[in-house]
This record gives sequence, C-alpha cells and structure tokens, in this order.
Amino acid sequence: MLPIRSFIVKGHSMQPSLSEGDHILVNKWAYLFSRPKVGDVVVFKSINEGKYILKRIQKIATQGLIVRGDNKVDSADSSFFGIIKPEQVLGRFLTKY
Amino acid sequence: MNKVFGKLIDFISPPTLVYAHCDIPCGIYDPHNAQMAAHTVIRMTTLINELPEPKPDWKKKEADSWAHKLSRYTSVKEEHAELVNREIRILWADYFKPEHLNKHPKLHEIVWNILKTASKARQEVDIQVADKLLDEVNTLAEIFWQTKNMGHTKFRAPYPTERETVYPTSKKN
Repeated sequence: MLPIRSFIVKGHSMQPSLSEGDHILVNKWAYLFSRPKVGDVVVFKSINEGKYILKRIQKIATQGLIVRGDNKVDSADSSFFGIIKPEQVLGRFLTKY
Repeated sequence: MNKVFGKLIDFISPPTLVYAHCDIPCGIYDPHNAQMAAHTVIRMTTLINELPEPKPDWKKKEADSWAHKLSRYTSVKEEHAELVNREIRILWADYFKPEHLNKHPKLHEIVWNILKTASKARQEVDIQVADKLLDEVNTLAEIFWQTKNMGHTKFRAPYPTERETVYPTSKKN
C-alpha cells in the first residue's frame, strides 16, 4: 500500500552505484504520471522466478525496456531475461539509507 | 534523514531482497544436454567393451595404443557422466518448481536415481548401467516437456548409439 518500499541489494551487478548489502528505497509511484527514462535505476519482477531484480534502463524500445547493470563485467542484461514490460516494473530507485 | 525515513519504512514493512547479480534465471532450460551426455556415456562404454583383450606378447607400440584408447574413452565417459549430473542438478534446482512436483510426484525420486546411476556409470564399465542412465534422463525429459505444455516423441537417435531418445514436438493447445 505504501508508495515507498525498502529493499536490500544482493549481488554486485550495480557496482559502483549500489553494492551488496545496501539498503535502498524504491518509489512505487514514480511512473504514475511520467514514463521511465534511460538511466533510471528500476526494480522489476522476473517473470521466471518472481524475484525482484535491480537494473538500470539502457534503452526504451517499443516493446518495453532494455536494462543492464552498471558493473559491465558482472551483469546480465535484457538479452538474458527478455525485454522488460512496463507492468513488470515495481518502481524507481529513490535513495540509499 | 534518509536513514530515519528508511528505518521507519522498514518498521512498517520489512525490506525485501532485490537481486543485482548475474545469476539471473534466464529461463533457458533444456534436458537435451543431459540426453546427449548420456548417449556419450553409452558410446564410450561400448568402445571400452570393444577394445581387444590386451596380450602379453604385444610390442610397446601396440600396448601404448591400447592404453591410450582406454584412457581417452574412460576420461570422456567420466566427463560426460558428470555432465549429466550437472545438467540435471541445474534443472532440478533452477527450473523445476513446487507445482511441477505436485503434478509429477516422482520427480525427486527420478532426479535422485539419475544422479545415482550417473555415478555408477562413472565407476563401472557396464552397458546396462549406461542404458539405464539414458532411460532415466529420457523419463525426466518427458516430464520437462510436459511442464512446458509441449508434446514429445521418442525415436531412435541418429547416432552410433541408436538408442531411443525423447524429443519435443509442437506446443499443445
């Protein structure tokens, strides 16, 4: 119900921006009145396992969002899990705490 | 300020894990690799069994050639039996879900049997064990394609092993 949700980061694919163990807040209402932009860090739900994934939007295609991690040597991109549909996006990264 | 606000959010709703790692479920699973590896185990077992009995009057060159072939066949058999194990473990751990187990209650037992048979296929040079391994992997392949709502068929593989193998067919409606 809350517009803000908290998460703990697991993994290194968003380094140096975000590291494993970081506590972050995500704005679930970020895209109520605006569209996702390239560069936004978003949390979305993986279709296959229902896990929440944290990535940065690399490109916006007509079919959806193409994402990847900031850590270029240790990150899966959209080619691994397909184009992210807008309804999979939970919200936009707001801040660390 | 952020910390206080974050702790307040945590108090209302505990934080959830969000994954930022490369081990993301890619959704690309297939029992094919395990089936091919099981065929290789059969083939290597056959080749070992077909080696001539070593003779005491062999010259060094003949003895070396025999030992070399046996070493290579054994090494590949070991490697591919382990590959069966690895591929099946991936399917078991990453692909199959509780709902699959509900529909196929023997799933755990089938996986457990494959792992055991693959180990036995490494330890022994027994064509019956190698055949059993492929049969068990085929059984798992049938279940796999059912969970994908795909049809499946079984026919003799076009390899020297010529054993029946499960292949997917078109998606069911």
